[in-house]
Amino acid sequence: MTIEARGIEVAYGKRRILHGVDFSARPGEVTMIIGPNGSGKTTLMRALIGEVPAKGAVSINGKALSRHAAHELAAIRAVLPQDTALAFPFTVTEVVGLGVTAGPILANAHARRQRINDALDAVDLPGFAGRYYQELSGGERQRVQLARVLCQIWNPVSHRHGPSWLFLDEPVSSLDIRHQLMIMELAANYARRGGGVIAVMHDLNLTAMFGDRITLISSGEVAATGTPQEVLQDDTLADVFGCALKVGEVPRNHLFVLPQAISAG
Amino acid sequence: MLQRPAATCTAPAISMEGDRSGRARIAVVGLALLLLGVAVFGLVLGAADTPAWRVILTRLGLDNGAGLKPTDYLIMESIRLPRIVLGILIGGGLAVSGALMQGLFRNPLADPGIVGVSAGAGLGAVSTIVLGGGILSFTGIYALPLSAFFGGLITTWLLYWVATRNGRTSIATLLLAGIAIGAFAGAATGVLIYIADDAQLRDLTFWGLGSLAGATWTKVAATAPIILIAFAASPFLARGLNALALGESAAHHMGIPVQRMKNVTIVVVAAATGASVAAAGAIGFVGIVVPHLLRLAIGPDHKYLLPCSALLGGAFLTLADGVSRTLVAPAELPIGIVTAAIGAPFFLWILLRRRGLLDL
Repeated sequence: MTIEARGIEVAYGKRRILHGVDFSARPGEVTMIIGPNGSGKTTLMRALIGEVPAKGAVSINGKALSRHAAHELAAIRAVLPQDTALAFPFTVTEVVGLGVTAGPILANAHARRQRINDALDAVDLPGFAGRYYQELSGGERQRVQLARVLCQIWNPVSHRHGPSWLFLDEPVSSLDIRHQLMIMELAANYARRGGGVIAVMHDLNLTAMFGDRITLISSGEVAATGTPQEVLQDDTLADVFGCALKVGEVPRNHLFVLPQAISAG
Repeated sequence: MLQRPAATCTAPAISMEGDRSGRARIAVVGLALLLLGVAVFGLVLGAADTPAWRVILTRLGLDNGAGLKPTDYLIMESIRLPRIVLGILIGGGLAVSGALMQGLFRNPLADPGIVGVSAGAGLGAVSTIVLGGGILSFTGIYALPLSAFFGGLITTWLLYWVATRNGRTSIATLLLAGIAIGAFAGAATGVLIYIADDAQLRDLTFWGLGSLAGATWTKVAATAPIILIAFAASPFLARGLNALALGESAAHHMGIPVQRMKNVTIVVVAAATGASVAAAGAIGFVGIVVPHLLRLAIGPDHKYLLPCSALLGGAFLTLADGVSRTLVAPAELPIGIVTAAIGAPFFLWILLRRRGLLDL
């Protein structure tokens, strides 16, 4: 009951983006994918969710990705998109409701509304139910989308399907610091309750704080994989990101990554 | 496609901000009543001095029918009634086509008339009238709707192929491609009209104006099955089109078989547009005005938008037909003129409202 990827190769035309990447993620953990721009971390995510044609094998909960029917996958996996465009003037309630519709059938309208309210509370958007989605700021839209995605796989573990998987593509890219922490805590909590979370991240400190396992991608290959202590090393990071970084430790065993000036490197 | 049709909810209404489904359900009932009212109005309205109410009441068994002439029944049942029924079918068909197409292209400006699908369907129908004597005798009353369907289908596929890349539709490309395809279909239709003989020309002239005049039960029989199938298919597309509003990959991750859903939508749009065009010529703007008004009133949820479009489209066209029959009575305006006179300014109004949002 994991996500396993073996020998993932992706090429856009003649340009090869990933050269045989292995990746795995376990339920109950937050697995972070990090790497510099153009390293292929988003492409890896897209291969894991079947959005790009890739060589190699991806399996989810013990069954090959391609052998899951679309509705089967929707029951165990939800994807938070980076793109937050919406074609028609739906309200926040209606957008989040689309997630409810995509998930397991709920008993009645009351349960549906309760679910929508809970999800909006979880992403700190109480009182937004009646607002038009298209009138919201980028960060608010991102949180509405997260609420929608959460509604689709509300239960981190289901009897029938096993663990659920939350894929987050740069989930905090347009959020303020308070909401960055809030959303990452929400993701970590989802994992604590038995679900699996896979996130593409830019911020190394949030990665250090919330990642249980980290896969560091560089030039289409895995540069390092393991716990934060194993992956976040001064030399490894400097090598991959091309600038000097200082890893330290703060109380509660959290690591932090302090950037140094490039010229000082 | 092939999801369960959206279940009608019977739970007690708990109001929640931003949830317009309660209002939408009331709208379905209200629009059904409106359609009924408009249909009766259309029956009573007419150039001939017919005791319409008495014929209706007699048929309902509420009047003894004394003093009614056979021609009174004839006017009501063979002239006005098929025309009303055809108007409801075509108005509903055009409005549902518009709503489906807007959902498919993820843009409220897509409309079979504007982007050339009607012109393509028209070309299909005209080719059959002028060139297809053999086909006509083979497929009977369905020859025109079928050829219009294929014309519309080819056009829609062509449009989708030209204007959509990686699941994103450029509205500028869509409208421009629509202009090009419409112009080409118009030119080809012109050539066919040029080589048509006199009898064919009479058929074409009447038909090209866009009119419900000449509605017969035969025409209703040729149109109804196709449009009713389109109505029946549309609830199965609602969930997919809602998800598609978030983008193609989001829809995929929500469990929608996106490619199949899009293919079915294209076929349904072509069928409903084709059947409408074959029966009444190109009647414009119904497909853009009706869904747009409904989105303002009940929101964009396709579960309600599609049935409401069918009802309001039917009422709108029947009403427009009433106007076209009475404005210059005893003569008649082609109904396409009436819908264009209402629809074109409306289209401009939408453009003005969206001016800042258009990604041209």
